[in-house]
Amino acid sequence: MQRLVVLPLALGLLFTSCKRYSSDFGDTNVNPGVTGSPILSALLTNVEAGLAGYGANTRAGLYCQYFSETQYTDVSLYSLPQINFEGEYSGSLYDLQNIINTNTSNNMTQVARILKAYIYSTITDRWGDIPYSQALTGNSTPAFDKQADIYPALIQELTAATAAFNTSSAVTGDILYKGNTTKWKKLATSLRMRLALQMSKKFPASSGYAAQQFNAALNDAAGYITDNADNFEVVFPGGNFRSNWYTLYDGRKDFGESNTMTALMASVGDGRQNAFGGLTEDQTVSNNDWNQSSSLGVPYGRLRSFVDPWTQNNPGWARVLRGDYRTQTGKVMLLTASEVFLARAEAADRGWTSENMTSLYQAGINASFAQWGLAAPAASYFTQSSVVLSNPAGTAANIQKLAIQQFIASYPDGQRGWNIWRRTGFPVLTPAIDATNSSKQIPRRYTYGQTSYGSNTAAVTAAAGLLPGGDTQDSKIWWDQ
Amino acid sequence: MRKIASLFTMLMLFSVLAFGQNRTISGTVTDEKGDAVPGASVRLKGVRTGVAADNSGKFSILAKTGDVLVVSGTNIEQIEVTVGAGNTIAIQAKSKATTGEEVIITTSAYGMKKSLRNVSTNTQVVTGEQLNTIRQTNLNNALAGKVSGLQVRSQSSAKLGNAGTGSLRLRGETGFGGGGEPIYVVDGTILPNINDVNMDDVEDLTVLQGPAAAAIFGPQGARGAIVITLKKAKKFAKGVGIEVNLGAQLDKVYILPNYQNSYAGGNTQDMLKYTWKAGDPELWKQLDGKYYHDYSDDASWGPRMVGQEYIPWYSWYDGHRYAGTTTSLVAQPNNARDYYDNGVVLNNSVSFSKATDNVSLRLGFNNVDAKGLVPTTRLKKNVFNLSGSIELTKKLTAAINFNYATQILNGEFDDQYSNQTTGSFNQWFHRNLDMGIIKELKDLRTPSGIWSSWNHNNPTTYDPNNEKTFYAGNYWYNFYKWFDLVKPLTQTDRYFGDISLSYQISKALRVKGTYRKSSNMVWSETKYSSDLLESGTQTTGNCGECRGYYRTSTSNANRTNMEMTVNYNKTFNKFAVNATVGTDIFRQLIKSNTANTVNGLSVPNFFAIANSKDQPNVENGRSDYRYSALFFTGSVSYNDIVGLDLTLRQDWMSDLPPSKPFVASKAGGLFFTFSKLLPDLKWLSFGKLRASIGQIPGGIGAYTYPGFAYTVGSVQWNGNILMGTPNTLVDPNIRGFVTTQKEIGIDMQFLKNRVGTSFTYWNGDDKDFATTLAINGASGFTGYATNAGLITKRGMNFKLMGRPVWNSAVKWEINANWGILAENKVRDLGPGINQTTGIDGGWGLTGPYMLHKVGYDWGLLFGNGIKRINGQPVLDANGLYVNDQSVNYGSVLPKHTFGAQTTVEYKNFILSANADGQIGGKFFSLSDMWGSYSGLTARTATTNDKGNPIRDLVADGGGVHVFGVDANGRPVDYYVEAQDYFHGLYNNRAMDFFVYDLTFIKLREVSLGYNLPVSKIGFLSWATKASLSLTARNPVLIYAKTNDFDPSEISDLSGERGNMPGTRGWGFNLKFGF
Repeated sequence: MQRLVVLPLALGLLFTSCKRYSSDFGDTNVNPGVTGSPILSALLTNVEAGLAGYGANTRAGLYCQYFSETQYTDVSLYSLPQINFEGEYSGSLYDLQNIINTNTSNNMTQVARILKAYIYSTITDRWGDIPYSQALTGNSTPAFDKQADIYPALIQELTAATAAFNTSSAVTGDILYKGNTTKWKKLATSLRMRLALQMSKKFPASSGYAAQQFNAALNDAAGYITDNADNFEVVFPGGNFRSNWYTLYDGRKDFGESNTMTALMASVGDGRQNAFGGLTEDQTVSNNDWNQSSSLGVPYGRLRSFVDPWTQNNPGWARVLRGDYRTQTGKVMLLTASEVFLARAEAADRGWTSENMTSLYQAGINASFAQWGLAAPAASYFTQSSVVLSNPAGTAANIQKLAIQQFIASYPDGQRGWNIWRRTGFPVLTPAIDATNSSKQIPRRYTYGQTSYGSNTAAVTAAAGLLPGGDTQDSKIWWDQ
Repeated sequence: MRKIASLFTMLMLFSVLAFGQNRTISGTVTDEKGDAVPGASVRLKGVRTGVAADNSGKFSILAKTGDVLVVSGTNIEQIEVTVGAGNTIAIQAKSKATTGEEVIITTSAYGMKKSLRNVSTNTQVVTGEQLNTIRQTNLNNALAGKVSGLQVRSQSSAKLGNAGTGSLRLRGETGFGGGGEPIYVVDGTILPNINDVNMDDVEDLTVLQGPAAAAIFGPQGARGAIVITLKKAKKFAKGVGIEVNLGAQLDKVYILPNYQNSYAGGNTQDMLKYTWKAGDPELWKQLDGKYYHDYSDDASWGPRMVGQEYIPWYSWYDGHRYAGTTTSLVAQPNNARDYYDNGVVLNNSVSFSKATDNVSLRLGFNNVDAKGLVPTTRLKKNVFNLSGSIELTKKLTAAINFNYATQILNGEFDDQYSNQTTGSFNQWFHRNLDMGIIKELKDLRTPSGIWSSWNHNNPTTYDPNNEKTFYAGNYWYNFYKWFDLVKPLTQTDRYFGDISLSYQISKALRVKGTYRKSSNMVWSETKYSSDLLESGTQTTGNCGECRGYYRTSTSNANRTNMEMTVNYNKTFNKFAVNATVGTDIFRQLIKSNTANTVNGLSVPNFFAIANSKDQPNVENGRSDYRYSALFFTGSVSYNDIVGLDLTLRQDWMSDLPPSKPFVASKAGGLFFTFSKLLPDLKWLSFGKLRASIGQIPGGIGAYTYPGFAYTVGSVQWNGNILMGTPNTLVDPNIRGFVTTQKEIGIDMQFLKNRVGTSFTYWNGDDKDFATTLAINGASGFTGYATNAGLITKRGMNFKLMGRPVWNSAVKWEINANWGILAENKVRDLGPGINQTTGIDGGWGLTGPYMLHKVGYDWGLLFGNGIKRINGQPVLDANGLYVNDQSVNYGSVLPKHTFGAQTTVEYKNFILSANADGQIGGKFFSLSDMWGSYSGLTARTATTNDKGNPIRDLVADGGGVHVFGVDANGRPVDYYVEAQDYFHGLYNNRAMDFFVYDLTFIKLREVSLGYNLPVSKIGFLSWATKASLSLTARNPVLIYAKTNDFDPSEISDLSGERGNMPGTRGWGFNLKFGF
């Protein structure tokens, strides 16, 4: 009797529960913590918040001798710069691509194109040939494009983006230019000038490709940056987002202004040194030294056993930037009016343009002083022999002084400094005394990283094969050849 | 005994009534320990057929008073029992003297039991006694060496509690990540880890290695299962049922790296002269003209220690007895060792159990109180266990298992780079530091509140306006003070268990419903004193929390199962059939909240999230997962000679895409006990051939599909929210991986079971992993989550059991096992992918790191090393090694794991020992890398072939003599300055020097026990047993390829970053039963 009741009951229960085995688990697998679609303004803010890293590249700053390492000196002794670039693609670049692909606001798309071109330019300037035309498409083994092709493509992209702005669509989440499309357009043309000038070694002629592109930018109705108010820079809100220059000393003191740089500043009697070197890393206002300058450059390119005791014995060594330029709410500059003026001055010197070289040169230097809040230098600054452009425009005979002023004006943007030195050979830099690499020369590029070799082997091997001397830090990239 | 006597009296009373008639007699067959003997055969004498006892040893048979029942079974001696007057009968049989194969195992979560003799897989059982050779507090550690093919990755005992769990590897590793672990099944409840079981409650433990054995668990069992049965009250147990187990163990530091003891701290061999100047503290006047070594550099490239006078670090601080004094510069060879306290583990438990005819109950309680080797660390744990059952009617039984564990863990157990113990001693340290004085001066503080440090800056940096630049630690704090100022705390409350109701519909048919629950609540907080900010100059660079920090988190993981099984168990003539159909409905809900302060605390040393200097980080997590399963498992056997097993299970899972939300697991096996056909071979006691095959698909984890989800950053930029595009694309048809294994084996016992052997060969593959294929980031994404890949594995397991001496005076038993992982090869990683990105690395991708590479064994240690031509290192013009960024160092997996246990009983003495070891496998030592860089390790202070110290200048005949070849392969050699050489190893990534072998042999556990003759000792007469044992944990590391670390306790998959020291423990244990 019991059997008659219990067994069917049990089997019934079993199979009822089986019925629940239909695939329907309702919304069990819906993650409550996420959203399925992007918010474009948040993507843009995310990218812009990360841009400062491009203007605060300490490795490049060590190569161009803006900085010295104070205790662990492996980078400035040229240890292998085997670095991955993939994170920059899947991070900022794809966020921008996502904005472009979604394309819900035309002007946001154009802003994303400009920023994308800017980031690409910094990547190709570090490694040389990199994935470009097949990148960001989901293709997991994108071919490497030649830098010779990437540069024109970036200029083309910036030109097209500038032309494609309209008046009707909003740019939201823009923490740099607050949606001001005029400023974005000026940035795009200024970037075109920068890229054109960077090709000067490759195309020095006044009728050459670089000169043509420089002129095209110069004459674009969109205009270019002529005022520090339009500078391409990241101003930090502090708190959770703090300036890269602040965090450089936030608990560490690995970097100082190099004695190469302080010597260069001294050689032109440059007042900007007051801003460039700080007496202490301590940001505590109660500490009297916090906004004091130092011009005691840290010896460059020495072993730890030399430089570590040196800093102990010279506690007043120059920190990178004076304390009040290094606050949490400070800024990191990426492209300034000064650079544009000085680029135009150089273009005039090269005979690419017929602009007034000397007045642009002075305007550039003045703008550089102004961007640090410093008064313009006395007239005697410009007339001293180490500064004055003594050769006529169009002769390309003033490059050394122009390059040195560009170099000073770009401090502490290490990548700019490294680019200027590689392009012009000025200022003349002596490689690290204690260099540990076999060539003992200053690196000319980063080598391709483990990630490329691991997951894009054929493409990176092909790219490495095209480099003169192979995938080493001594191989010169296209515009450096 | 009294119990049985009264039973007989009862039987006699009823005998008159019952005599002469055939009636149903029900009974139980148990062994002498009171354990049920399932499947025992019961027949009337003179009659060929009979009945078989069920899983709980119960049977019923038609008989009349005076009949003789013949009871026999594979594992018991045959006995005859005369039927008395009652309708019930309790039969206690004697176990056969076999060597372990008699064990009845619990094979599944669903309460099914089986004799090991009738199992078709390589199933290994560890009894509670074997497990508790020395009463370890961690189950994984206690398993080391005891199961063939099981590798235990133990951890230093300095890492108390959760931090010291270690992990298990069954039959190698699988997957393209960091590998996975088997599940732990405790009385049918699956637990995510095994921290919260009282080891004294463990009755036995069964290791199910392959999918053939673990298919009943479905996807959860894909990596094997450790099935644990906790003790239950036993009928007919002697005494009142109280057991007390008291233990204490003292742990001391055993293995530390070899340090150099010739050179003091700093980076220059020159002593520096101090000259007092105006503005310097008055105290320092007495130091004028004296010498000091560089304090600021935390390396030991300093002056040679020859007893010369020098100013020690503490002289510069005022307000203590050494202020302004000098001392002599001598080596402190034991300073690292001196830092550690002796660890003390008190491990006490008591249990009460009673089983009557229809009620059985056991209560267990365990208290562990452990004081760690690192000062201030402590673990306190209480575990409560209740198991009971009530036979409400003869057919209806209700049962409960309930476990509650509560634990408080205090202290920091960081074993990563630059941690505050080994991360200093082995990486950045001064070899001349007197640890006693560091301890004595731990509370030394400047008037402005800076805690003193051995690593302050040099007196040239002294600035009266900013004392911190000199007095604060450059990189390090006083180690003792650190642990006063940093206070992590984790509190865990876990309960788990089940309630079940089972109904015996008929003799053969039983139905059971079970509700299970497992709940784990974890609350933790971490406090970093604000004092740390004031007391360090560069310390916050590596330690953001050192600005003052508070973090707290709570999480609650809830798992419930509703199970229903129908079991059919019947013997037809000689065919025994056992079949179970069941369902299992599961849900797991995990919820968590975490918050931490950012960039310091507004009010110093006030620990609250609201006191965060900047906007605090706040996170909450939620996860929901369900499955429903329908399963069948059954076996048919003929006369215990041949048998067939079959298991089928289908799981419907919420994490799988709706296009195909279910997976099927299957397993089948055969056994053939050939010894039954060879009764004439007297030397062969038992022989069985077995073969099995199983396949289990895995799951993918909640929310993996559909994936590609956007999250919002918790902080805003001036009111703008931040969001990044997800980096992983997800295949809409993603499913779990499939593991398939086949095995064949033979189990034999000889010479009346005095010797036994077992051999298993297995092979299989794991394929189509739900894996995030690392795609090149230039694509815009770093990963594509899909199914890809193939790993093939094969191996062998050997076991040898023997009783060399076995008589009434001496009982000596040996169990040995050997597992060979002949292959664990990655065959395919997905289209176009030759190797994964780094999975685990001690120093990012700069040091050697672990990845998976097609054609190589799982877990290849790979990366930077020395470029070689024909095996010779290539040197550059400075005599430094040339880099090769693609060196294959070999797999991190040991090829061989082995162990041996022996027990010798002589009179009242019992000696037990457990040794184990492994061969093969590589690891990278980050400590060695930095320890060499900073001149701490012994090799940085040797002499060269000229007989001069290598730290002497090359010009003076010193330097490291380096041999190699130039770029063209021609032999070259150079003398290189020692510091350049050892810095060069890092700068040029010559990592070969820091890669070691995991090979070791270790005596892991020893116990010498004495059973007190309780009956002869007056005051112990109330006890049923009493024993005292002396124990040793890790007494001897017999052999290791590296003497600097204990290879059995390497913290990370690919190596160590700051391993805690190897330890050795001595203890005693006192056990009473009454």
